[in-house]
Amino acid sequence: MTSNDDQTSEPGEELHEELLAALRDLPPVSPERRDRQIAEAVRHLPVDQRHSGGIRRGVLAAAAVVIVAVGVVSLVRAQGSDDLKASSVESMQSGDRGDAASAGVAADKAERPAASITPDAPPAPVAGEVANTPGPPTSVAVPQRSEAASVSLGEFPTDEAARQAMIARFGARDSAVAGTSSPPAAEQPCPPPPGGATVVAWATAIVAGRDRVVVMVTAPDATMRAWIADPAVCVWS
Amino acid sequence: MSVVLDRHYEQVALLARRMMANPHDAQDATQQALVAVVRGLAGFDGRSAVSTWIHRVTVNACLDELRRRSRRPQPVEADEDRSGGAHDDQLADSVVDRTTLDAALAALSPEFRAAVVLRDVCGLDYDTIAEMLEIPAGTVRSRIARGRRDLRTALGNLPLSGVVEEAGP
Repeated sequence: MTSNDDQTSEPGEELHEELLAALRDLPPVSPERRDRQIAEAVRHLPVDQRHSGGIRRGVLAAAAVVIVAVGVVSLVRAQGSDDLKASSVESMQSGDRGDAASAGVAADKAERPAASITPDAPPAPVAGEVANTPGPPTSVAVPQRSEAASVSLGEFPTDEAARQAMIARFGARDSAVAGTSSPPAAEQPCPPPPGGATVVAWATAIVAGRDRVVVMVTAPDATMRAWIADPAVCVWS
Repeated sequence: MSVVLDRHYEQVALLARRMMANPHDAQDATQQALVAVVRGLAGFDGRSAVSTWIHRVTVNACLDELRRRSRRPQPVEADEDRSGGAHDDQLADSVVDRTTLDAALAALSPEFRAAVVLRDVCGLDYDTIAEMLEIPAGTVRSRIARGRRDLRTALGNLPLSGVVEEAGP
């Protein structure tokens, strides 16, 4: 770049409206090509991470598709000294969700083979988390970062039991029934998606250097949202 | 995953189309961007909007594609419409010819082109563009200004009357 590359003045050469319109005007890509390209891209996922069909089934009936990335508490816990190995996921909103939460953990375990369930371990406290959350505490040992590199991406379970478990775990209501998604207060360090949302898929991912579960949600307001559990990185995007 | 791609496909394709010199290159860049999104989702750090991140991935895919193509001989397309002068009058008072516009955009350096496209095609604010391109906001403004100037020059000095006022970031 030249010497005045860092000048801070406002751009002064605005474009003519017609030119702007022309810049933005392009013939639409054919649906066939679009689908083919998306399928080709998804093909680059490992086999166990491809769930486009399932996601579509659950989602595309809604006119507005919004993705909400919901991070559910993934607490790296010190076990013993500073050996940060495990993370507990506080999953229950109320006591009557106990079975669902256990099933949710089981479902998660199935998707993430590296995780181990330690039902008797109490969950680690989270900033802003309600301490007296009823229901049996459930801890899930989350693989360390090297293991977590094998991210799993799964569609929201269609099996009813697993589905309910995931709903309980992620604090989202069964929006197929209720039409809303609202993480329980105990696990809601970030604002809930406005206007309700529908959980359609979930994934584990490293977000800001930590293992998190990301729940994709459609919301009726047709805006893209991202919810990350950790307040430090909580964003709606 | 396909939900994410579905949601953002049009923006990816539009951005790629305007970043690349021709539709075929744009298709390649679009595909590269989609694959990069798929592969990079796990590493998405959540500190920026998903859409911003996908834009950034797309721009990088386009720049990579442009770099690759710059190292290869390019076929010459005989296209009379690419001569700018004959269209100057038309450009001033009618819709800009698409082929001419492609040629004018292609004449910009990739850095200027990216800044102009992100601002004027995608409608992103300066700070977002700065974040995406990993350059200071002042540099973004400079590149946009100079890119627009070059674009106008290439298209035959469109009049400034009727300009769209900048809302600012």
